[in-house]
Amino acid sequence: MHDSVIQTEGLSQRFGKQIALHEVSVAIPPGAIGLLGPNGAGKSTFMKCLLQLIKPTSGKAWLLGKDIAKAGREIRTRVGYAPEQDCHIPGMVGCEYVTYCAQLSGMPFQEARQRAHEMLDFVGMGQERYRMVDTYSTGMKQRVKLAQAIVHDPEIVFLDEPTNGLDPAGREQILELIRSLWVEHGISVVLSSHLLSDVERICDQIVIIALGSVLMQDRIDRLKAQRQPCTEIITESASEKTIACMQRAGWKATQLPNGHVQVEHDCSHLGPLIAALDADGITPLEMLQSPNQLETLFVQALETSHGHSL
Amino acid sequence: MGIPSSLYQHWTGQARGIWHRRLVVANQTLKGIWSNKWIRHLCLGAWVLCLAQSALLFGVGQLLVKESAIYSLVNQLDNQPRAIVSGLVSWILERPDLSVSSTYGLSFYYFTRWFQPLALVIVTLTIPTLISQDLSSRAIIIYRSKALGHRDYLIGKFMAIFGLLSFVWLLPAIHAWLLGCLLSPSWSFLWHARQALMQSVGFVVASMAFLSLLALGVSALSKREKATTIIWLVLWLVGHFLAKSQGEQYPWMAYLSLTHILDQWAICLFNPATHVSQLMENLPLLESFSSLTERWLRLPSANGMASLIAAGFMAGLSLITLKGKVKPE
Repeated sequence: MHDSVIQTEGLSQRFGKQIALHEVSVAIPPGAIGLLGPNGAGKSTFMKCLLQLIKPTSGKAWLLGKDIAKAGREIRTRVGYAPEQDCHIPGMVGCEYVTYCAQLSGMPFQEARQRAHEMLDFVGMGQERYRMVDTYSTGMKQRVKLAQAIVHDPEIVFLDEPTNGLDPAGREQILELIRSLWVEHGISVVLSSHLLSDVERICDQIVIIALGSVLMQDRIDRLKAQRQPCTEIITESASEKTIACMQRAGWKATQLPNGHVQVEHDCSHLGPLIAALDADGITPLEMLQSPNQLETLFVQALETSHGHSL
Repeated sequence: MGIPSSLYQHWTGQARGIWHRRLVVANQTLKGIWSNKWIRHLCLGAWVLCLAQSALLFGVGQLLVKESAIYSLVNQLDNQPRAIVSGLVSWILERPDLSVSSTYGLSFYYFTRWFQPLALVIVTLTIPTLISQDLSSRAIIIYRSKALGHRDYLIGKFMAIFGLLSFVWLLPAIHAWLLGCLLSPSWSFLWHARQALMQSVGFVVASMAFLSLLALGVSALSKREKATTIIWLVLWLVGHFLAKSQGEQYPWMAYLSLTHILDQWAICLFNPATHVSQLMENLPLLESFSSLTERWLRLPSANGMASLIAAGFMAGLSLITLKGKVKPE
């Protein structure tokens, strides 16, 4: 139990007749954890149950090795949370807000103020920190939400769609910061996002939730290894020639609607494919190893779940 | 341009306890309330009233000092008022235990009641800032995701409104008592007036706790700040109107009024009728001021139990509201 940052046993949540979470039992080790699922799948409910923002209908959960029902307040001193929706304390400028959040986690005022400024620097907030939070753009609100979630130096941080509303450059920055939280500072991250590329980029584990149940939970590299390696070959105009070349080598090759050739093979690297193409005089423009593999896994998991639900 | 992740450093300090966090909530709420200039003006008004009471008590003490300006002033009055004042002085000199107790008791009965509408207006102005604002800005999610439970958040908010009311009601009462006693010609006033202090503190603390709990409940009723203010005004003014207009015919209706409940507590605690009968007994000349004495003799009797039950019912409703409404969406 203590090897897991999150563990649940039969965790269920009902809202009237609607089942938001159904008998969820998982044990998730520390790391950067991606929480994937379509809208209404139960991702946010799962997070809220763990943070005790809502009381589970049944089941048990442990966060950082402690029972949430018995040590909820103590656990929350070690946990950060950036909710998806806009929420702030009214009438405060950014640095006051983050300072206040640090104090709510038990920091003395002087340390809270100093740390608030450090965290606002960390998330890339400049002079905007002296403006009222109510006047912030969506991107600034995302940054200030991240700052308040990590200001008390938590051991695990829950981020609900943290890149929503950010421009591409801002998104890159924030994703890099989130990645560094685990990779460089050892803070486990639970990232809920509908952007699979975000999850694939910064997470080393995924939990796929749909219809209130966990469909899949494992390390991303292990899940990918279970699938047949797949490569997309982009050529200038010789798609049919490429397909024929690959089939001759004994691999299944198909043309995708975008004109690229998808090859399912059993090679651990691209060397044999390049050699086969070279032998036929084909020069690929680009070769993408296992593109969209996470998306494929996600779609497959959803299809399986819908199949079961029918 | 990327942000260097080395800007993040682990915190190695020691986290403070739960009471520190509750105080942080109270302090922040008070800051929000204090930013309203009308609250600041009303607080000033409360302290002006406190000084007026101190001056009155100082005046009573000065009646015993023959060289004092007040003593000379009294000697310039007509015969009848002068005789009453002389009677009061003689009574104070003969039975300081009874006279000081009754004088201070009546003074605090009236003054603490004059503070009551002021406190109610202040509560009206604070209602939107207490919980309603946090509901509309979804700040509850932030509070609840920190190391604070539902109860801790409410305790913090309760401390904020209770603290503010203490500043405008309890502290002025204690201050007036202390100043009145310290400026009196005899230290014995401190002893003889102790009952008035205890009655005042008892009444004011109970009233503040009741009003604070109701204010939190009303503030949690809606996300819309104006709506909560209107609900509070309806609860206060309509209740008062019903108590006045229908209270005699339907006595239970009187207990729908906050002010009636508080008045009943004041009568139970201060027992002004006893002080009045003491005064009338020892200062028979007071009977010539028929309008005053008739008013005193008409002091209503109180039904302490009924007012406690009514207050308990209202407080219960408030707690139910707080339990049901103050939660993250």
